[in-house]
Amino acid sequence: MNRREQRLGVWLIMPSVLYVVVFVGYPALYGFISSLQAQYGFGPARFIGLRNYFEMVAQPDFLAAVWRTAWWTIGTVVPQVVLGTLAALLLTREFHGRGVFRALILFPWAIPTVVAGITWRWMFSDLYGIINLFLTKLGVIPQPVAWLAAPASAALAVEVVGVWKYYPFVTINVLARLQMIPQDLYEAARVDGASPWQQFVHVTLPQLKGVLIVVTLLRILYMVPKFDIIWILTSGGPARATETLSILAYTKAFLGFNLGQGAAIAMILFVILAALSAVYVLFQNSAAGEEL
Amino acid sequence: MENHPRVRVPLSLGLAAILMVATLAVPAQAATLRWMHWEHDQATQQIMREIADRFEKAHSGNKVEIEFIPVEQVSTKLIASVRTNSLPDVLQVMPEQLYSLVDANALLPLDDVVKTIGEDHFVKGVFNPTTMKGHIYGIPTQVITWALWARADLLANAGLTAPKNWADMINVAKKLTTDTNGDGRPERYGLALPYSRIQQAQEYVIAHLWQTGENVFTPNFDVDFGPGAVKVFEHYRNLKPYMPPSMGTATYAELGATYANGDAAMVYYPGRITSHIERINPAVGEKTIALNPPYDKRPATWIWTKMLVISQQTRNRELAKQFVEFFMRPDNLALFSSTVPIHSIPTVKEVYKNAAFVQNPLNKKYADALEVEQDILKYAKDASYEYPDKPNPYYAYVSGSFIISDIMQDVMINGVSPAKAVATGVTRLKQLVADVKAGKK
Repeated sequence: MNRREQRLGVWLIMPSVLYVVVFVGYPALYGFISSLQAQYGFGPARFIGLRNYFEMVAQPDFLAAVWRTAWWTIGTVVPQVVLGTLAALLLTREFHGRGVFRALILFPWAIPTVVAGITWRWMFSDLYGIINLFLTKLGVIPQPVAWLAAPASAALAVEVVGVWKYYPFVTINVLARLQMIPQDLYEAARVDGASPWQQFVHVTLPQLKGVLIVVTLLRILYMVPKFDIIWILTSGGPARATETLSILAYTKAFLGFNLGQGAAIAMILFVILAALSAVYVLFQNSAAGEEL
Repeated sequence: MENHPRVRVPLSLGLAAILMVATLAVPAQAATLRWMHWEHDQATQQIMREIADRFEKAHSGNKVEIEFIPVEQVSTKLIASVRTNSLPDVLQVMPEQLYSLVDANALLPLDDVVKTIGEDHFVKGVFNPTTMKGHIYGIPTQVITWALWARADLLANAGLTAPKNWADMINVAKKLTTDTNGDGRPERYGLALPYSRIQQAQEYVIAHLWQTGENVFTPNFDVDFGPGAVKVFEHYRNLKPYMPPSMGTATYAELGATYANGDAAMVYYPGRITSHIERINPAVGEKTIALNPPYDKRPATWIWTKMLVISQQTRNRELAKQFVEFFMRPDNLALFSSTVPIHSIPTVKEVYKNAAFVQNPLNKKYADALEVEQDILKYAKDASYEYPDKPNPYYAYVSGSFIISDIMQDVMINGVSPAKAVATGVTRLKQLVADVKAGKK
């Protein structure tokens, strides 16, 4: 590459660099500076070093929110991957109306989160909710339950919506990979007398391994900081049962006006996500290395 | 071709001429006022645009740009705007936001605007929550008080009278809770009172605290929230069997819908309940009465004061003041107040005689309720001014921390004893106020 081409290369990547600096670098830096300050509402900011971090980490609210974030992530990502993969396996088979089903499965992912959240909120209502209507008619529950009003059922309900809304992402990715598996592998397995289950375990799963790891990592990256769907459904309640780190950061900063502590939580979340992103990038690089 | 001087020179001259003409065409004093509000009703928004259009017509060349911010995002917007010097010129705020903004020197004093309008045109006492440091910073447009709304037909059928005190309240709520098919789940509950994590639920708790004769803060702004608070949560716990379970997660709108749908016989709510009734179930309106809220030791309820303020950062001070004066004219305020009748009680006396207000069908239908809402004004207050002439600079932080909500949910959802929940909560409240005081130094 000659000098002119190098210069052109620098110019070509400049817009992306600029974008990252302005929209990622600056807010992150501003957030970090804010996290080192005592800032209450509209008042002046005062440098206090790492005090916000120490105070935050010592608070039971924060530790509880860390656990809830972990549970929320595990409780949504695992079912998303299982359900998404099962749906992809079904949709890869030949059957009448497959195209329609493939389009329909995208529905939860395609509708706006606010619409989905408000609709589910009504569906969970003990007074008017369709879920209670079905469950009482089927005799599963003796009387309607206020799903979002009790800590355990609210956490479960929020996870159900989180799974429903985002499992199509897994389906699309797994489906795309399934269609790329050479049919020769299945034919060879059949010739060797492999049962359908053995074909799945020894042919399909190894072929899906890469995409499943990538998709799981991506889902974790998306679900850890998730705010919208939880906020719409429960606003972190009842009795803080669904208050994850992102909800806690928001309530501290913008409802409690403690901008410094809110920023500290956001920075901790940022570090967690950066670590997860590093794992994702490392995996991508090693996978690319293997292919080479 | 573009480098040819025979083309370049006339092109440059032409462009310069177009720019000059364009500059001259804009009036020298033209300005755009940014007006931020949180009114979500379509009808209210239309009227606001209409008032803005009238103002533009009367002040030719100037524009009013309306910015709608959902009420739950107002604080976020204000914090971000103050920090980035981008506060809109005219803003709609509540007292707790007013005190924080004045504390940050972000607002203009509006004593001259009040003088121009004439203080005697306003309903007595409306400037209490808008005055700070000896100046009026907010022009109150409406006040909203909370009453107890009840089904007169159900009270009569059960041979009950309106509850006057807390003991009555429990008795009436119990008797109006009905399980006609015997499945263990009432078809109708006695009372809709939220214990969800919403501001309104915290405000109901504070109103109940005042009813015990106690306060959130001492006059020196130390946290009080004492034995009266324990009494409040004991009262709440006693009422719980007669409230729908969804009260633990209800939003403000869902609370209104619960009553309008006939799922609760009584509800604590502002006058906006009439809008829910008219939209969902107008027949309930005929049977609904507004009552003074039952109390323990003294009558008390919450009031919201909506007000217009002007940003200190505005480049159009005079125009912004003219706009506020224009908005407060009885014709305009009557139109604005009639979009959600009964709910928004106008602050200017002349509005009550204005045809738009008087002729409004809902104001006629709920005339008795409007009288009750006005009567409640005598003892209604906001936690930002528990003590007259002493605006509380810390209440906004208490409200935003949701600690009061946590105490309530500990009692109502987690089954913690009121005494223990209050003790834990008060420790947190004291720490919060100490932190804010330290942060302000």
